[in-house]
Amino acid sequence: MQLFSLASAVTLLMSWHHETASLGTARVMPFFARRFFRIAPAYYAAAALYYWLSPPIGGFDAMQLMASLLFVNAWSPALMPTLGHAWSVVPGGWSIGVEFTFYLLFPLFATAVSSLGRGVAVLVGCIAAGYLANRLAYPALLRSYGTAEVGNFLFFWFPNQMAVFATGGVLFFAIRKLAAPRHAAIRRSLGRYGTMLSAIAAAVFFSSAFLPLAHWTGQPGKLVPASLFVCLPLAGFILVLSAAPNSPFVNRYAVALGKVSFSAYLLHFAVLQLVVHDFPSVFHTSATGLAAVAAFAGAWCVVMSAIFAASYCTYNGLELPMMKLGSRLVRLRWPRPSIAI
Amino acid sequence: MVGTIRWYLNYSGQPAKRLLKPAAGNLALHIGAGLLQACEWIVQLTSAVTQDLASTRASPTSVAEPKPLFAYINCIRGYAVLLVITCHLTYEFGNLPYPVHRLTVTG
Repeated sequence: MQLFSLASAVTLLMSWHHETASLGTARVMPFFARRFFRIAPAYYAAAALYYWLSPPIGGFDAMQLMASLLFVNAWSPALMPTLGHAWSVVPGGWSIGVEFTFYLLFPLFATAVSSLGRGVAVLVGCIAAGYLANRLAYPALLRSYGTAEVGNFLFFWFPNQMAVFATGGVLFFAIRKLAAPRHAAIRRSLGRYGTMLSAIAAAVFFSSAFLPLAHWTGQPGKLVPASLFVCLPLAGFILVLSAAPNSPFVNRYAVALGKVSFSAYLLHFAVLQLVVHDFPSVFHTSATGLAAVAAFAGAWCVVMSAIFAASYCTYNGLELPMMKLGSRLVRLRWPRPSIAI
Repeated sequence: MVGTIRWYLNYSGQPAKRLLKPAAGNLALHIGAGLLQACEWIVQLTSAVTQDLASTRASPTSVAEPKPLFAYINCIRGYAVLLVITCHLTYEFGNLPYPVHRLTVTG
């Protein structure tokens, strides 16, 4: 998820700065409208799909539905939800709620993060604020929820994730600095050794699985939080790819999957349920040892193909038309100011 | 195969679409139009993949085309969703060896 958040922060800052450069100012309301039309239609359609596919065990809950549709579901363990058997409306919807919180704060964030130095300052501030928020929320939430539920909530919620977005701000300015003509020599070196450096960054990222990292910032007894630790290799990975466009890591298959990634994220729970979960004997989900690894690899290929095919259809049939509609409405409601030459 | 579907869409699908328009209220005809649209997407998808493979096979020594601007951003999103899917698929295989499990849930 951290990779999604970093990419989100970088691309939003790119659009924001592009608009500032072309219009003299970035417009807040069109930004919100475009973000809404980018995310909400597919998200609402996914909510209807999952209601039909796996109806809530405890029955319909209007509060839960409204919290999810208004993207405020990431602000309570009961609404996220991190409670067992609670209705999640859209599985994995917590990340959409967190992303929308970031959208809401983005104009402030983009204004504050106006240089590499300020980006670092905001990052340090976000880490400190996240630590403080988690340490205050932990004992308070333990009065109403279990340890595991609170732990998961404190990992997912925005105060814990905001440092990841802030790292994206630092990364944006690092990419910009690297693209400057005076850093052409560094860019050439990165281009030459890009594949090796990207592979090292990926290896460091995966090594985090075996390190004793904190689940959430401020967790008692552990110093470095996992969400923050993985940001370093992931940011390095993105930085290297920005300077090494001919690396094998930048290929048309990854690009194709990236284009439909939001649909893929929304649909993959349904595909996992319909393809693997409902046919355990076909995919040998109870295999052990090396047989389990082989069965997992086989299922991975089938699942990825199915998700890509389904996402391709929903991207073209729903996401793109809604994005175009959003852009059209933005142009009608907030026409671009004419620039005097 | 792709050519056959494309021929079908060109010579059969398009007139059918035009016929479908006047009867906009008919649900069955809407479903038909939707299926035709889905066929078009499948053709586009199949063409894209077969063209990729064909170009890889045909010109292994040719100079690579310049990649589109900021293609790496889409790649990052692609890798991100790949990691997330891998993570959630892991929980369907309860008996995976522990080191493999740890690795695949990293995303």
